[in-house]
Amino acid sequence: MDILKRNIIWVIIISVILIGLAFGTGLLVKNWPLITLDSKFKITDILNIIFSVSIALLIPVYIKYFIDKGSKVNGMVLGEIERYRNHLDQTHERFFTIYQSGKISDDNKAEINIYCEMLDAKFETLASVLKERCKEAADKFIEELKTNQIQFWRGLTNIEINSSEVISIHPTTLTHEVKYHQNLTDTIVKINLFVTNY
Amino acid sequence: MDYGNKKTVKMEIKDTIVIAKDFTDDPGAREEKDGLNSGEIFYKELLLPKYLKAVEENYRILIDLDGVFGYPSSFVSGSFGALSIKYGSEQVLKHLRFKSDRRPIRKDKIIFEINNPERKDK
Repeated sequence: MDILKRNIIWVIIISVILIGLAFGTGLLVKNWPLITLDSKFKITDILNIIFSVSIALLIPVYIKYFIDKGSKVNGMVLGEIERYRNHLDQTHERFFTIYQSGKISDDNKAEINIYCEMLDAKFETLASVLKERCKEAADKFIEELKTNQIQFWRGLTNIEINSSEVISIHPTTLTHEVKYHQNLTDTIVKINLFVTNY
Repeated sequence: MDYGNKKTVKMEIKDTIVIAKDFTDDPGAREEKDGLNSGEIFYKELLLPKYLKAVEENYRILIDLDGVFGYPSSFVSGSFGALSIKYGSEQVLKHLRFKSDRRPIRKDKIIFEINNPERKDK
């Protein structure tokens, strides 16, 4: 249905052409005796045939080119989604490992900040390819991803982690991190479905 | 989500803070006691004095966020969040503009913090 909605103009044009053809065929059948075969060929007839055959061959090639191109771009966007998801999961796993260790060092705090910065870089790339591929239709997904990512960053680099008084990750902080991670994961799944069906 | 940058009030930009150049390219945590380059030091030594001057003379400050390897939320909270708690988000956003060509999401993060400042005693 989405394909039909997106190509509604083409659907209308093709419908009108088909109706026209049906009408023309009806007229031809009705006036059959008036149609005669002429054994003499003119140069315009030959050109007409060449032109018609060329069009018949070129249209499928042209359509296939655009389908392939769209499929390649979709593949690229899905690849970026995968990279984002992988980095998000790595960040989550690293955070959980630090929590399980029962202590957090200054190096761990800096490391978490680096993970968040790298996630920002992944976000910028993903947002830009999504926008390029899906235009305005991607806006609401990009906005949702951004909002959830800001919450995630806040949960991982706030004073409950970065204060010098914090020597281990509190279970409540972990609970927040799990919630923000899940929100981001849900959004990524939605984006994946959206791009796959686009 | 409305991050506030859309509220446009015509006001001239007369000052700039390039955090990487004017403060550090390695922002720290929230408070001075948490270590080097804290948000609190940035707030006290750079942001607040410039902000007060901008309010007094009715102009805007452009804050360049590039050239830094990531801003911990605690740094943002100790600086821009503190400014928002003291003077209100609307007033702060009226006098500050943000720029990040490399990571546009940084602007949104800071404006989010200004609109929803994290309080220490939460």
